[in-house]
Amino acid sequence: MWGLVVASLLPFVGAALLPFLSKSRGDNCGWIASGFIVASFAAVAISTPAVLHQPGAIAFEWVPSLGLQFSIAADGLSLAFAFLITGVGSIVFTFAAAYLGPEENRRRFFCYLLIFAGAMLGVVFAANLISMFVFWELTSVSSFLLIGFWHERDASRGGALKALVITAGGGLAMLVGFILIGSIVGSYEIADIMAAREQIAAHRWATAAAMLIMLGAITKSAQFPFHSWLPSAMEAPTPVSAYLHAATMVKAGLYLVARMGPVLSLIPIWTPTLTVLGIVTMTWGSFLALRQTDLKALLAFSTISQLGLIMAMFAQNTASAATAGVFHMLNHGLFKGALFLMVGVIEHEAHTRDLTKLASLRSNMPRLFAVLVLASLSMAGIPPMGGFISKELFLEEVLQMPWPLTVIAVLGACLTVGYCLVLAIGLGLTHQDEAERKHAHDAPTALLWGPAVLVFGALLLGLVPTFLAGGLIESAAAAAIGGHVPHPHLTMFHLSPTLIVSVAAISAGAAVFRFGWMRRTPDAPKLVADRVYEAWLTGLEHNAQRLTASYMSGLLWRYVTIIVCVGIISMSALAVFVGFDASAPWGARPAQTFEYVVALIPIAAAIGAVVAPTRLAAILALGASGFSLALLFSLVGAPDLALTQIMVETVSVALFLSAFVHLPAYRKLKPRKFQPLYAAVSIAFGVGVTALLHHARGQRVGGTIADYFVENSVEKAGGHNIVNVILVDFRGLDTLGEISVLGIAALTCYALIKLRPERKRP
Amino acid sequence: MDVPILLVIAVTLTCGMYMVLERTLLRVVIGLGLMSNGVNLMLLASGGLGAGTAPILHGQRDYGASPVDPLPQALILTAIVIGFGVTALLLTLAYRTYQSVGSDDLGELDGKLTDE
Amino acid sequence: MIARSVILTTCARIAYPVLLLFAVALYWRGHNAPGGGFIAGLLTAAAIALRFIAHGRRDRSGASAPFITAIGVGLAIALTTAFGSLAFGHAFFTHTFGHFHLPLIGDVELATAALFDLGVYIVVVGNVITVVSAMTDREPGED
Repeated sequence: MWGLVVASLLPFVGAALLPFLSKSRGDNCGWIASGFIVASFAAVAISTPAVLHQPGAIAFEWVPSLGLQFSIAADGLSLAFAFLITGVGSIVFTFAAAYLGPEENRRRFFCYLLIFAGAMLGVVFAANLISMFVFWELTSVSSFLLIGFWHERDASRGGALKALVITAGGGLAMLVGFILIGSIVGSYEIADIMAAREQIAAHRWATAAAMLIMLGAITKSAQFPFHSWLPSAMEAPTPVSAYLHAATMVKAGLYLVARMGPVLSLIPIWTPTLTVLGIVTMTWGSFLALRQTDLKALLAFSTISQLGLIMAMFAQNTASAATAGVFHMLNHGLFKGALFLMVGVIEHEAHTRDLTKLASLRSNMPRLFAVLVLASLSMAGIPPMGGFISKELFLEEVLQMPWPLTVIAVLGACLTVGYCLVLAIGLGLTHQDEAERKHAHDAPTALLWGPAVLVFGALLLGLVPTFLAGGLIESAAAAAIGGHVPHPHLTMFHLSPTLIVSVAAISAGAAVFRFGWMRRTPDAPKLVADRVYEAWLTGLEHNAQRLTASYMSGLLWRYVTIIVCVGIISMSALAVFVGFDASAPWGARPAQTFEYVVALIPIAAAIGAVVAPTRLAAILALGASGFSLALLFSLVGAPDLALTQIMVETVSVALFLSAFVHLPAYRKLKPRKFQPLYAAVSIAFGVGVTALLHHARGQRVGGTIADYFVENSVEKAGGHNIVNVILVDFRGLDTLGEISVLGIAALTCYALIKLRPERKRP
Repeated sequence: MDVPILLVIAVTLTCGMYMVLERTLLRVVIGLGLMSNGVNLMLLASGGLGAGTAPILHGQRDYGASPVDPLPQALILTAIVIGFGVTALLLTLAYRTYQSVGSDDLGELDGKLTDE
Repeated sequence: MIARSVILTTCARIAYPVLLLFAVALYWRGHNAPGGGFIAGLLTAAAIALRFIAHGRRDRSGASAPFITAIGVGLAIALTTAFGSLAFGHAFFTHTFGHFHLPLIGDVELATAALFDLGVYIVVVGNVITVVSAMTDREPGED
């Protein structure tokens, strides 16, 4: 188990250390990163026998207050994915180290790639839904960064954004589903959730939770109708496409379906929905793949199609289907990774990946062509490759489905053979002239050995599947259905109805290829899903702009009006629902007449400031308001306040008078015409705030802290003026803050007035 | 004493808000000054009003007849002085804005301050 | 200011020292009676501002510079008293006081809090005068 902890941490450690370990130009960072991922692979491999024998878990406290722990659990399912992540990862990293030229920012590239690998391992080893979600979104983010690696290109940025919006959006839906499940069970630990599966299935939120989690899975795995991000993600450097968008990240959705399958397949909507989505995705994806001329786009659609196939298998939650799903997933990781890498090589050498422009590979790149043919055969499901066995297992499952699904699935299998033949034969048979032949040259070994190793793996999976991966597949399938799975007997040689269907599909596929029924269109029409996405995106931007512009008017009085109105409305609502308390005492004694008379002065001054016809009058009215305030302060026993107010008012008036010389003459001093709306807002504000104050005065809870000040003022601070003692002693830190603010304000004023921006030079 | 002071608060805040809602810069600054006066009174009123003696001790703990809460007073004293700092800053901004834009009409400011 | 008034200048000359003295008194008694650093500072600033206004612009070219420095000095004094208690092993912002018997004046109480108040006083004076002098230091229309 600890080996797996090390395996999960190694990529992150590598990402953190890479900048320090690599040379200044990043020449060696590809190899250093490869070292980390290979070490991680070794750690996974070493831990495998023990885990297959006895699955285990380790937990660390994470946020104890929320009951969250960071826990790692491993079983066959996690290991199957971990092998893909670290195994294909090792090949891709070393390939990329040779593939990326010195002109690229390789340090950044490998940092992202290592973070992705670590996050992906985190997803598959997470024993807790919340930590799984965190790593899940981290894979989306690192995928975003890698798709946009060539960020100076528009298409890269668009593709990266689209992938992020769709996958991270699905991830958020999934989080809501997780929280629903968590609140049903009372725990986010997957083991607890497995134990409570009947309870979940019976709950009224079960269907909603299942749909939300499904949304997360099908967006991540690019299932119909969320498939459109994957072709756009092909803007990434080719090793990224091979690793993230063929072998690993897009399989996170499959992992989720397999992991949660034992629980969610008890909910009636789960299996039928996912099966239909998977089969439809498979056939539609292979149909679209046939129409592509760009090699990478072809592979992208074929990935979508294959993911659909595996998704349909995992959705069944039966032993045989899960076996087929796991087996094909391993197969697909190998051959699709290899195919992508080879497309990278082709592009590297021939400077194009357009099917119609490529010269014959058979004569120009014979070694590469041989590997390519083998990989395509595996994808088409033709012996002796591993793909053949998984295709047979798949067909066996499909034949038991309702007949419309069977028809669609078999059609999909035909089309799959069709596009595989395009790859295997179409690329080899293209005509070419002599000039091209001279120019072309075969792939360098440094780039070729990676795909070759992967294809060799796919071949071995076809020849000795049980020996190579029998235990792993058994354990993984058992975990995916939450029960026992018989030891799989995977063999190339068998006689069954599926063989007939298989042969028929291969022949039909060959016919599709031969007669070119699906004519390739150079300008592939835009996907409907793409159009929907773009319309949604532009609509969102447009409407957000309109909404923002509707209230961001740049006019102060509008802002203030909105703020005040919202405040008044919410306060009124509170008053209605909570109730208004008018019980506050109206003073220790009734007000005397002279106090009313004194109160008239600030009232008159305030009104005077509003109606004042000149600036001078308004400033003096403001001063009068302040001075009369001092009078009120002295009446209620606040001599310090009265003194301060008089001083401040004196200085303020002086300041206003010195400033107003520099300001224009106050709109010919006719104040704007009387505005009933603003008057109403102002009155509501004044009355509302006063009412709030009165309400608050009735809500006093507990005593006052004044007693403390009274008792300790002389004793502890040696001062008889409590207000001053509070200022300089008890609350001295506040005062220190205040005088700092004063100092900063003065410096700002000085700088604003005295310092001028440099004159612009001509 | 509460009723007259609550009246003063209501009127001062209303007038202050009305001036803040206008479009002449100087009037907005004056309005904010009025509002800060009103808010200072609010703080005082929230501490309770009465014809108490000033919070100044004569003997060791001899507080006179009816005590006045000293804490709001300390808060207000701070607020008054800070209010001066704010007013000074606002006036400076108004002055510089007028210099840069050539207008003291808030309705004409939008987008004009970006040039400098 | 554009024109100077003889009456204002004369009054300011007489009032200036009186106001300053009053300010010092307010500061000194602040711990025990109405007054203190804020009030005294504002009064001092008002006195200086009065002098500026009475004497016009010429007398105080560059006059704002020492007041900007005063802001820093005042903050430094306040911070020193705040941190000073740390040197004596007390918590941040612990003040102390003691009674001393001075000849002629009698029993006098001295508190470190008063030192802090001095910092407040200086910052307030510096603040007000910096702003006012910056604002009046240019003739109308001058840019």
